[in-house]
Amino acid sequence: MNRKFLLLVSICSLILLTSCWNRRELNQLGIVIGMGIDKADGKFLVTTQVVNPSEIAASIGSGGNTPVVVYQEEGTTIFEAIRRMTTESPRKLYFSHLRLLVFGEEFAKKGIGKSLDFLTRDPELRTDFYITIAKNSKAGDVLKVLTAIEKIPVQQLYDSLLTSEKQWAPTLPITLDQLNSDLIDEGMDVKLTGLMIKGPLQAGESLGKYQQSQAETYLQFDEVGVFKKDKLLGWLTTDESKGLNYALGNVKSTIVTIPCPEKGLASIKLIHTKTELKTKVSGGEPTGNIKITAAGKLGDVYCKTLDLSKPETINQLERKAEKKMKDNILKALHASQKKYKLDPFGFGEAARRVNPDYWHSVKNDWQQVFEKMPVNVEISVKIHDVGMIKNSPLNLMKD
Amino acid sequence: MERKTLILILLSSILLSGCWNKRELNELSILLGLGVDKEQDQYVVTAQVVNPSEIASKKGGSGKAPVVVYQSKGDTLLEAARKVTTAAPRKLYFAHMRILVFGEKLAKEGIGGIVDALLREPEVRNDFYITVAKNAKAADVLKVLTPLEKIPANNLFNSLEASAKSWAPTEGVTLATLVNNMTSNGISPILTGVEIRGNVNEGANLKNIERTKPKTTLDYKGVAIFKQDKLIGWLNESESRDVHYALGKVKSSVGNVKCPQGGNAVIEVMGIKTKLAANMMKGKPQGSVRIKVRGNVGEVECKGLDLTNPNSISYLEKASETALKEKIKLTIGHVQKNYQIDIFGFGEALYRSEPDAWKKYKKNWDQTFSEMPVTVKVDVSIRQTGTISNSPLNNMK
Amino acid sequence: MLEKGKISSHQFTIMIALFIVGGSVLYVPAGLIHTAKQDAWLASILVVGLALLLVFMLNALGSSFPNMDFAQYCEKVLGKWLGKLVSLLYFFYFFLSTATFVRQFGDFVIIQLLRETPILAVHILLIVIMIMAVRYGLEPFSRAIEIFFPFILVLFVIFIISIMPMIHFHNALPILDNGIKPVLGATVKSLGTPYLQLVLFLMVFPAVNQTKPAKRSFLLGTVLGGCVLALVTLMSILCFGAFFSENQQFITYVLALNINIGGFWQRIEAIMAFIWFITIYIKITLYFYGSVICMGQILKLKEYKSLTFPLGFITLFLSLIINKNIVESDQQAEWWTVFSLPFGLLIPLLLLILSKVRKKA
Repeated sequence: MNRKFLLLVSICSLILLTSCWNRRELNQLGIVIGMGIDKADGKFLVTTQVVNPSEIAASIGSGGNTPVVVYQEEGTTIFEAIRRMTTESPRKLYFSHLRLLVFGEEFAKKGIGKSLDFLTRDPELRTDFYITIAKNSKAGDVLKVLTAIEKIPVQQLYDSLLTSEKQWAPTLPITLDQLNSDLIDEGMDVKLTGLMIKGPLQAGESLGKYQQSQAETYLQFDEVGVFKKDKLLGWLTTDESKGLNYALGNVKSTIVTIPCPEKGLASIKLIHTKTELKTKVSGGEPTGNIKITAAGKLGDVYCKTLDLSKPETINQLERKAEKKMKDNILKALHASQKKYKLDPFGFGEAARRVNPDYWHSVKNDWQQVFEKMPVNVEISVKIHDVGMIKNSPLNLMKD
Repeated sequence: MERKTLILILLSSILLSGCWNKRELNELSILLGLGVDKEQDQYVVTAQVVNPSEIASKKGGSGKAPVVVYQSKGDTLLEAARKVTTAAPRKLYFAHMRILVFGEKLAKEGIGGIVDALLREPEVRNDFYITVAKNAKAADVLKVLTPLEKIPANNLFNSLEASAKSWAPTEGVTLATLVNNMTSNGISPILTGVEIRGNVNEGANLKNIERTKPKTTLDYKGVAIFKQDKLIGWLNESESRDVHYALGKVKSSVGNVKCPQGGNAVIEVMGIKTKLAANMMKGKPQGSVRIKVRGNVGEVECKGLDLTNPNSISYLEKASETALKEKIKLTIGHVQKNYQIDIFGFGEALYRSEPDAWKKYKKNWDQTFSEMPVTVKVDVSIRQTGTISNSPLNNMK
Repeated sequence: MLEKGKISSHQFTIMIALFIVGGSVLYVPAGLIHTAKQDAWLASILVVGLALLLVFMLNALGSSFPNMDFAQYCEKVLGKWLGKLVSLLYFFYFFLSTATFVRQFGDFVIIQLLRETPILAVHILLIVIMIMAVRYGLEPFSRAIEIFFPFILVLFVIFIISIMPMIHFHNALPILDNGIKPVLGATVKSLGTPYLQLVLFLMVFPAVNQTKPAKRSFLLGTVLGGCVLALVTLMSILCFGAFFSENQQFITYVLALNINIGGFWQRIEAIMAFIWFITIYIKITLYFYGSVICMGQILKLKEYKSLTFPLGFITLFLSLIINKNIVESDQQAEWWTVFSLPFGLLIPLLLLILSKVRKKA
């Protein structure tokens, strides 16, 4: 019994423990954290940002080399370009830790669809990375710019996109999953956030920029780009992007600037918002509904005309904040209905959910229907408090 | 019993699900210096943020700037501050702010709104100092890197504190003081000015502090005079010192006295007591400043002053009294004549001593102040002459 | 008697002192300074005298019925139906107060500490421990207060010492600039919050094990709590001046925020937050206890615990809608004095007179 068992175990081990076919040791991999895709002469130009492990390891004082290495190759397919990179890179590129994918603006205008097949098909790629467009530049250039606080530029961009969405609102972190579903879904058009290079490119690439307190070249997330199918059609302005984001329910916290009576401004800090986006169909005519409830606090005051000891004042401020938010949404609606004739809000998708029969009847010319569809925007803002002080010191100044 | 445990577990899973607004240290950009400028109608916010990997002391910096400066524009301070997140990976955290710099242009247009924003924000504390960039943008001041203290904002804070203690023309003004003076009828605010000496772009580079004498430095120069929340003018260094004497803000300083036979003696001020008052004299307000100075002889650069002789000590006392008195009188006169604004707080003093009379003058106080006679009395007592009694100059033949 | 537990007169003193401090320590100074400017500290001392008169009256009423709580002798003196009606009014008064102070707690936490947390979460936490304390009963609760008291006392002393360096005596000058009128106005206002609220202790009074020391404790506790409030008001004026203080939402907390001695003894505002949390918790719990007992007496229940959960839920709901925003809460503080007047002064006085007349007759 015992002998037989032992024999069995050893034979099994012989077969099973022969090491793996495609083992990948950590020191044989180049960990890709950022990837950029551009078009060059009908070919794909792929750029990858790869971690330079000796510079990142925390315990060793760094030797003054850049913390990341950027590889760039052309290829008729993305796969080819990536494999070609091994001619340059000492290690095989490993894509599981990809954090950010950047499309060049030119490439995005011609259509990003072709690239998505590889990105979705390759098992090594996860779907949790964010996707942006390099506004006015090539994706390759964006990935060359170094950053200060986070050593790895792409990590900084990733964090910045998340933070700015939470704190500022006009940016959208979109993952591959969402991009794919937006692309397939007829009732929802694709939108991606833009990423801009500010300052001269050369200055951004070298480590010398670290020595400056204020970097000459830096990356900044900007407005949202809207797509027709897979082609970039145009950009929404900051106000419009904010409006779109309100409507999509992505805004957690932001600043709403409102005018005081007479002159001057005040800002409201929103602390949480809840959004409902619906499409109602009655008598074959669709109506869009956006309902937002938000809670906020008064952030700062730049005028003498607000008496914050009266509840009426708070009431007025609430109405003004509502109006401002509504304006933003209406601007975004106007831009998408009239200017671009697109539906990045997903009203079509909302219609499909409530009334699939109706949706099947209009889905082929949804754009035309959407263009003329009336949309009700209903916003209610509640201001909870006015911060640490009551009236503005400006009020107390005697003339 | 089991049910209770179950309820407990259920409750904890609901209640202990983590906080809504947790702020992890590595998710925050710790802001140490804040600069506010105005461009057209928008506020430009400049944030000097710690670069954590460069500050952690153990590793020895790898040759990068210890701070990162971010900038953005917005209609209000809050909007601009939030907008920073489009370029910075982390949220700005204000609780460790050391210094607030106003650009001169903004200061001229009015700082009230910014003060409101900072007072209202619970994250902001009241322990930072406020200065005005003289002839410069606040943004440029915050870009300049400084030696000794790795973080320029700390450098600005500490040097303001140190120079307020031992030099006198500067003073650390906090938000509470500023807002009190801004809204009061009887006193107008002053803020210390900071000047960039040298080229900003050179100062923003790490190379600047690799030299023993940096090419570009930040210096405190003079004070800015505000009418309510608007800057209306500057006092130079020596005038500022007189103002601080009159306000009793001087802790220690040095002053020169002319010797009888030429040359200078330096009095080191060790302690000072000021009494600033305003009273009604014959139906008119009158101001008075009484200063008691306790000093040492710090340096003697003249022959013929026998410090072992009590007469020369009393000569020095008399001479420094008149010198200081004249200077302070001159400066008060200068402020009365040229700015017509009460930065000394005679109005508040009058309110305290004669509240009934104050009601009459309250409305037009600055006008009354500019015509009000002010008497200055200085009383210097010299206690010590240092570790040597006579100057070596005296012994030289 | 619904309450089976007994508390000592010592515990009664502490309870009253902390009850007065609770909530008021953050909100009252700014309101007083708003009315009386730099003379507000005078008002806050004067009001202790008035409060003592009030307590004498409450003592007289309480000791005429040493074994009954307020709701019980309401019925005895005024007859069954009228008595029940008055008790019901008191129930609403106590219950509304509970919700108001829960909201005050939430407001402070949302404004100052957990700035992006939904207020609901804060309220749920508070109300859960409030219900818990009331279910345990008065005896364990007062023992818990007794344990907290030394901590609060020591922290308060540390707090006062730490803000000493910020004092500028000239901030209090000139004294009585606008005459005595605003001072009296502030005194009356201050009587409303928190002293008229002391009527609540008529619900607790019979639980004190001896009546005579209880009367002394009532007076002592009032003086103790009043001194704390007066000291805090005075300190706000001396440190920041009337002008700055009156415009602050939480001036006492700002005092603590500004503590900085030698660059190392700083950022200790948690002291103030701790004092405030404990004391307002005591206040809220006592109010809730009062409303539960009151309701129990009206319904003639054998025990009151069954009321805690339903009433607790209503408190949660009420605390969310009682005021829309902080400005309305501040407004409420203005009319609350007038609202409290019949409950805190007139009705007890009437009861006292009636009961004396009855006794004679």
